[in-house]
Amino acid sequence: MSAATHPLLRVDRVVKTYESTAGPVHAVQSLSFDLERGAFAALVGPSGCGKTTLLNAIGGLDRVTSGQIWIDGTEITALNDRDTIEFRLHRIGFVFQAYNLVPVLNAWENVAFVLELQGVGMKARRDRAYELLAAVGLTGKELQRPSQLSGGQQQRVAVARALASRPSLILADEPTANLDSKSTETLLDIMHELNRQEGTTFLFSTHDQRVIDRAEQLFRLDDGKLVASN
Amino acid sequence: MVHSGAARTNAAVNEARLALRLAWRNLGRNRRRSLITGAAIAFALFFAVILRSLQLGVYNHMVATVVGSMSGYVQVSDTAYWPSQNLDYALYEDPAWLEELRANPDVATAYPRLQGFALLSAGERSGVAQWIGLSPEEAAAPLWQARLASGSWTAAPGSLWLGKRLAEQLRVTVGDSVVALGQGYQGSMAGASWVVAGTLNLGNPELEKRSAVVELSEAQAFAGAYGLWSYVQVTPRRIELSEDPTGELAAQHPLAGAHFLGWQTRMPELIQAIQADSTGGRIILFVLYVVIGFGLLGTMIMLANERQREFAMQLAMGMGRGILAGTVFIEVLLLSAAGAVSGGILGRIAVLILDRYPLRLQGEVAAAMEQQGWEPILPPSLDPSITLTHAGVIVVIALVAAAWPLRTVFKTSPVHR
Repeated sequence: MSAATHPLLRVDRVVKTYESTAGPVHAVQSLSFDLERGAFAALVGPSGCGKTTLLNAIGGLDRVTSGQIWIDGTEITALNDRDTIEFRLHRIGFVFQAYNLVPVLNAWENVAFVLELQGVGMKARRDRAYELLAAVGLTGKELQRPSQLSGGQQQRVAVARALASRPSLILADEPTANLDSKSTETLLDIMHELNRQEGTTFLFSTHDQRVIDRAEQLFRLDDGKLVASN
Repeated sequence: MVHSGAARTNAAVNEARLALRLAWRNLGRNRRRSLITGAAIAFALFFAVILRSLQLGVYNHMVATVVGSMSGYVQVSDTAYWPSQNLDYALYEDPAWLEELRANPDVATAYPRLQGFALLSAGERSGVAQWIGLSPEEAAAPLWQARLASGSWTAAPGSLWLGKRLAEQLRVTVGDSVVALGQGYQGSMAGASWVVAGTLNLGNPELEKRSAVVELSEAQAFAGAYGLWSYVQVTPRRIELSEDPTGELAAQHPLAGAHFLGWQTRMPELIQAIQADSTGGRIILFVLYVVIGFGLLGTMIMLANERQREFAMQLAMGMGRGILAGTVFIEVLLLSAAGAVSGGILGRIAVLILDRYPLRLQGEVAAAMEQQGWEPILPPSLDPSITLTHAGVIVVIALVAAAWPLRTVFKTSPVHR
């Protein structure tokens, strides 16, 4: 698949089935869609509809039962564990519901965390981290640890971290679930702006109406199936 | 994914630095727990070092007082002399062989002795003594000079030096006469009247109760064993030579009809007593280590549970499990090393203090020790390998306990963040 001529993300007949004591659970059922480069999209639906499962599969965090997922011309469902980790490290950014910053690293070190794993030199990663912290409105907070930041500020650090390595795709799992309205609006403004300025593709998993309102493309899931998209 | 070799090297260096930094900072994230864990390791090591140093120190003291200075680390005697120590199995004097033995650079000292048993009496009081005939060279050595509790070393014929407790028992002091009666060489009667020239501190209560020292020629005359030695007491410069003197020394200095015996062979009961006591000490240490080990395991389980979510997140971000496991390993290593260094230093200081001011036992325990033949003090061993060995053991225990969080790292799924 050529990156220039094909969508950034292609989900092709993906099935994810868990085994449980009560029998098999079909979390995702033959689900397919494409996502264009530079999209600001969201997977929406009620709790338990398979949003997070699908997001995990797209991020290479979980294996699919069948089907294929292509990102930027690479079929990640065909990669072995080692290459999946490498791919994730270089090509995908994550924003989690609970921020999940490393508590013993300060703000800029958290942003530079992925760059450090990639082998980027000290000066380059510091410059990039400071630049991104400025972009998310956290100038002056670079040396503060997560415990010294508010929830909204921590989530902004997490967004900056996700952007640090200039990934093709950012996956955001319920990023606003723990934020108040003001922080949510601020965060969405920042992400939307970065989406426009840097052309970074965002795919959210959410049932937050404020995120849904901002999304330019929606994939509605129900019971593991894609029931609507626009 | 294809990346250049340089990028991979940079990534590896960065990962190692990151692991070290995270491990170091993680130590400070729950300071109280780190302090308690480090303190537990430190105190365990502290007590282990003191316990083992005192135990080994007491053994060394026993060996030094009972063996080293009296019967000798090595004895060269007639092959039939031990275990009866019968005067009839004496060696013929061989000054040339003795000079040759003394010239061996591995031999610190070599002194011939004649030794036997006699009944000593002074007035109405009497007691059994082991008399030892010392050569003039041995009597002039600093060791014996330092043992003089009263009187002086004199070359006057008929002089006798008594263990101070034996002198007390006979109620004699310097200048008093003592009559000795015993069995001489080949069934002859041995009898003499000696004058007390001094009393001796022998560092061992039992030896002080039963030892009487005369000059070698005086002893030979007393027993009618002219030109004879019971044995030659040898102190090697290397301790391993006393463990197996039959090898090197005997091969270099053969003497017809004689053999070289180490103290371990001559005194198996002392070895057995040390081994039995040492086993008890090892069991106590084992219990201490088990308690500390479970304490550390509890800490590691807490650490693993607290961080599981964080581990999952770091894995999701692209951190390899190896580097994550390395972070945990380094953290536990730093924590245990800090505890071990602190405990080792404290233990060493305590041991040095105990060496300067040894514990002196009192009451029944002291009496029991005296009955067994050694001074009731607890001098510690200064062997640094005790500290190093137990520090190593405790660090290994900590690293074994770290297997739990390491297992968590390898079992955590990035999905469960």
